[in-house]
Amino acid sequence: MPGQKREKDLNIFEKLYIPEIAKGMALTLKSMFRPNVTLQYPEVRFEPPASYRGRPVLVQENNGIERCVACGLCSRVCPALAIEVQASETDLDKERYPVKFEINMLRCIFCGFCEEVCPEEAIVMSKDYELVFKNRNDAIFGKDKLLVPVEKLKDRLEFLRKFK
Amino acid sequence: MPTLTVDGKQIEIKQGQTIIEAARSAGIEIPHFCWHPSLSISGNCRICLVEIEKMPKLAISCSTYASDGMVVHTQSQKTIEARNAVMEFILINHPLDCPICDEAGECKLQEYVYDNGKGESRFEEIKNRKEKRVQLGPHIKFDGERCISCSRCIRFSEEIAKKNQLTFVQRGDKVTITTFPGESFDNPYTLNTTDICPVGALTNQDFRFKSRVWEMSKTDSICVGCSRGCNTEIWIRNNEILRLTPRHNEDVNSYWMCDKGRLETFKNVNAGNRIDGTYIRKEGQLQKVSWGEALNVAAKSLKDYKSGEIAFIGSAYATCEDNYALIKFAKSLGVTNIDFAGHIISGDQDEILIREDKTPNSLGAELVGVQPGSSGINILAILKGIKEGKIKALYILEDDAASFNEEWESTIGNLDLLIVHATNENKTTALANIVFPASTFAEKNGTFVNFQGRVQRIRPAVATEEMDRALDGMEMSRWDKFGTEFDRWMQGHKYDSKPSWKIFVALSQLLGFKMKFNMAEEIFAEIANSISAFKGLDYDEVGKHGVQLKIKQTVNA
Repeated sequence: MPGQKREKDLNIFEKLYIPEIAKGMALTLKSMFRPNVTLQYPEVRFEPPASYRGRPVLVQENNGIERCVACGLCSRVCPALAIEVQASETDLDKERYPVKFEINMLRCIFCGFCEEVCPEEAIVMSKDYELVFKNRNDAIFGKDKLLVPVEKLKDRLEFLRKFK
Repeated sequence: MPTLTVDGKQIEIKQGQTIIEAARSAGIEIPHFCWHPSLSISGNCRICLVEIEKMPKLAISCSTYASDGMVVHTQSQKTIEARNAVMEFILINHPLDCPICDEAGECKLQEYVYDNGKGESRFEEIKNRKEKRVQLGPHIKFDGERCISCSRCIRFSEEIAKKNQLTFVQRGDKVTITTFPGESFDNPYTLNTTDICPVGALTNQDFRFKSRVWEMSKTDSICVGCSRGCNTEIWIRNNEILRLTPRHNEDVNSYWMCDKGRLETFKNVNAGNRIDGTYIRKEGQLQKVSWGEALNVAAKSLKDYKSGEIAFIGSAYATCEDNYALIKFAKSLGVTNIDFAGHIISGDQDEILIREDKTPNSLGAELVGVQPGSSGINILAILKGIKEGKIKALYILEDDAASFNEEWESTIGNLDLLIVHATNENKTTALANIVFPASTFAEKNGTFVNFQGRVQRIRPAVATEEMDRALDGMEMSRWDKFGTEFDRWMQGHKYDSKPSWKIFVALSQLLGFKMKFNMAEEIFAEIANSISAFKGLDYDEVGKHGVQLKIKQTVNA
């Protein structure tokens, strides 16, 4: 602004501008030879690291049974009230299982509290970030969409053991 | 007055009071598992150890009598250390299966561990294995591993239910609870043990795994199973009743209620045969119509009969307010043929809670005046009148007249006009010309008078189409507070029903009578003004625990 004193006056080289432009051009030139970070999505997909918090999924053991015992802690801790669990009795040793487990992905805020609170390591954040729905009902994921075999979640489970 | 000092607080004590009782009366809660205010002292859990000055060792507060000048410390270092040690000892064999256990959230052990536990275990050996999922009786499952051997259930069945059915077997860490050989834990009060069990060892078969306790809202209510009127709490999730539990009221039911009341009285609220909307008989079939149409048809058809040709049957299942509205409506029509039917199963009574009168409000119906007017006829004469063709129109409030006996069933089928208020489909609604959907005890405000003459309140716990959980001030869980119509856990069905008094008010407006009530409370205010037994009462006065009416003698209706 006119009349106001600058904090620091430009020196002669800065006033000339040309050296500054040359500096900028040098940086641009340098970047041209750097490795490319832009991915041509969807042809090329981003593979997130283990620390990534994608949509929460339920761990399915190798025998096809979910780890979840329907304790309801994820549902209680969820700040967005996205999770609904209905427990029921099973003849298995663990007595209790979720007959209904629904996550409303429109409510989910990917905070990962459900994963943190889970006493059974049964709900974990996956690497899945592609979530598209055409209506509200499609956004409610039931057990059919939530159960993921344990092999596919190895990365995350290892990460949790290390850092949780 | 002798005084006791607990944590620096002076407490006046009565003769024979223990330290835990005295502290409790002053609002100081000393941790306890085996002690229960209504049961004898056992003193086996040791968690209530306190430090008493001038005593060499810590003493258990549940069986140490308070005496003058005693100084007790419940939070001293010595006490807390002892408490932690007891906690550690109990947890040695207690499984860490809270995620599976149904008691989680209302478990005393869980609470005390949270308060007093060390958060880590020094125990590296293998925990004891005991029997799990033992069917102790028809309604109870027992998990031996979770049991902390406090013996509350044993003392309950011995002292309160008066049936010696449970006992400890084995010794030491192998101790477990079982029924006597060849016996089943099947007295009428077994489910109270699931309430008093401090852990999840005894679970209610009916409620098992249905819901977490923190997901439900609870509303103070009254059991409608018999004329005892046990104080209860209704537990709701997604607008559905999941369980009833007894509520403490020393004048009525203490801490208890019977299994029948707990399991059977609420099942009709969400049953498939609920009447949902108004029905009118057209071409021999009951058809669903709008409220406006049903009310108009009912008002018009009632006008077609002389007052002597109409009879009203009130109900001992309905509230005082509903019955009072019925009387007022009948009197506006000039009808004096008013009565109600008792439902007594003689002999089905005990010295504990169960009464042979199986209705919650027969005394209330009598007190508000459901009885024949000066020229009116009683219920037997009404039946006779229908047979002879003198009574042509019958109006039945929340009762299944066709199920009284075969005579009633065959007789009321011959009526010209049968109007019924009902909660569920029954034999009478199958014969009716007009059916109005009545709200159940869990869906309305009102009062019942139990056999002792104690007036007690019921409150709405289940929302109907005309009741909004938030606007009508009903109890709400966290889910109710933040849910929207798009959440599946908020989409529990709301029935299209109304409290009976509202239906009478709507009908009287169509017929031009002066009956203007907007709330059940206003009806109760009028009852309090006009009936001497209820004088000076209002809903606030009745409150949580009810009020004993000033009536000369309890009527054994």
